[in-house]
Amino acid sequence: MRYLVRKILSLVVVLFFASIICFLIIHFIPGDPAQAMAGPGVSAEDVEKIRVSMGLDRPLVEQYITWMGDIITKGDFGESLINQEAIGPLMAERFANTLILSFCGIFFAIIIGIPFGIVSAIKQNSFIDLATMGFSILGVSMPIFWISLILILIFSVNLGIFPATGSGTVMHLVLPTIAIGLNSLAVIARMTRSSMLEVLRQDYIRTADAKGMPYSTVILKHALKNAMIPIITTIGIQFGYLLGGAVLTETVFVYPGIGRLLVNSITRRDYTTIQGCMLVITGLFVILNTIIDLLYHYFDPRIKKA
Amino acid sequence: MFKNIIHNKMTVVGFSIVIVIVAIGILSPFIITADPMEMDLYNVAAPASDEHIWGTDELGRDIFSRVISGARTSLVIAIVVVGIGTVLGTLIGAVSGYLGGLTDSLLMKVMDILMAFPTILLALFFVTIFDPGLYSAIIGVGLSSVPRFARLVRGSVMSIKEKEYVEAQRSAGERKISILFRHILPNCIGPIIVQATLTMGNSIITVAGLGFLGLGVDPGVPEWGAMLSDARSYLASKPAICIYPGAAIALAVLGFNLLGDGLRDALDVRQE
Repeated sequence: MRYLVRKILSLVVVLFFASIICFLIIHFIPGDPAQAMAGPGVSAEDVEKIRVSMGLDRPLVEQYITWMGDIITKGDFGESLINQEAIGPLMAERFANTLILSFCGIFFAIIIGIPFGIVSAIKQNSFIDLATMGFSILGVSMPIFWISLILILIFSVNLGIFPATGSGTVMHLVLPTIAIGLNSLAVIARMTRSSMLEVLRQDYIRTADAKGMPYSTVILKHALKNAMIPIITTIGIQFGYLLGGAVLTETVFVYPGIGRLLVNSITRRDYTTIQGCMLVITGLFVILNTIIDLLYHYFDPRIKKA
Repeated sequence: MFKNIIHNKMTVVGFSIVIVIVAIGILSPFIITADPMEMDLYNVAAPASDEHIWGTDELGRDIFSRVISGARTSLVIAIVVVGIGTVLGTLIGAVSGYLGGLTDSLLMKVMDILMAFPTILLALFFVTIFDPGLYSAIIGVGLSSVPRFARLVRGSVMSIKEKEYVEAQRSAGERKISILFRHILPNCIGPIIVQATLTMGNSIITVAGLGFLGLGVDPGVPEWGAMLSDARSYLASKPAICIYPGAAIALAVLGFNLLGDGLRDALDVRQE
């Protein structure tokens, strides 16, 4: 319980400072923030107008409180500098798309990765084991955007099965899901294998086996259950990585997620949208990491984390 | 130790790949068959020929020469990134672990906040502030590698500082700073080397990712990620432009990952 309280307090502190950093983006840019927001070639008068309308003439602390207050109380992230559209609703829609893609990706990684990991562990040094291990080493070395291009090359350009870009149907989700999940699949398969190998060596597995239990029961009920702790942690960490990977995958597949919104906003210098996207992605990432720590602690209370 | 390293086949493979990539990086001006920056608009996206063994890209530049030159770009960037991570991370971790108390809490909190941002996001943060380019990418990716080094070194320092031989130095009246640098840090070198090797692989992938988003190196510079990005529109007509740079990234990362894993086993380093 004390651990829970401490972790949540720490979460709040980290979120607070992270939000300050996101807020300060505009002020970190060398030069005048109002000028930066106005863009090049704007008259001094218009720059002043922006300074007042964006509240840039007020003290920093006041600006931060206004910005953060609007977000917390009204879900109002301000307006885009490019088309004056409200950022909140746009981001909510994009964020939902990213979550769909990330969940599909991690689901894909789990349903393929865990079975292959288990089979590798049971049949150590077999062909399947070597193939799985070879793939898991290669899988983490391939950049996500290259995997994406190769998938498009094979399944869209050559075979014409799945659409290369866009969104809206299940078919559109298939290639991005594989691309974003492949790295995690490799890591999860490898973790499942080593965790299962560790457990299979234990005496109680030999006992269960010797009792004449069906081998599948021994594996699934006794071994896998105990091997799950590190696997669950790995899945959590991988889900965090997926959020970073989404930036790249969404760009390749022209998928309307928050990562692509962020990259587009950076190229268009839409600073208010950048602030919002950074805050949302970082927020989710931090919360996720706290949940992983808590789960880890829950499953294995022996671990005392400093 | 060296027996262990040779013992493991995968480590040998990884080490060989790293050696080859580094050799290519150093010797690239002697290997390339054409100027990697030189455009030839009459010879755009040409297929493989005697003159251009892997063909030419969308601006008529020799793909083989660009991929080879890309090794140098990627290695130099990754080395600087790892340098930032190692130096800053080791210093912060050492001070934090050795002094403990409030200094430790504060420094570790700063590391937690830095870790709140996924690597690519931190890089994008600096790209936003300082405009896209080499330096923004290096600072962003470099800073995001600092916390891992700091935590690692902090842990090692905390366990080593309780050892008897450190106690002996302390009672002999040696100064804190000299104990830290001459007696404690040299014993943390194993984990640092392992982390540095693995970070090399990660940095190569992340920097290539930035290049792919068009937010990495300056236009025209032969960099694998940027090459893949340029090649996207030629995917259907000329897949080769997309295959080689990606394979180069995967190979380099594979090499550093295998070597890092092998070193970890050989040096018997625990990881978090």
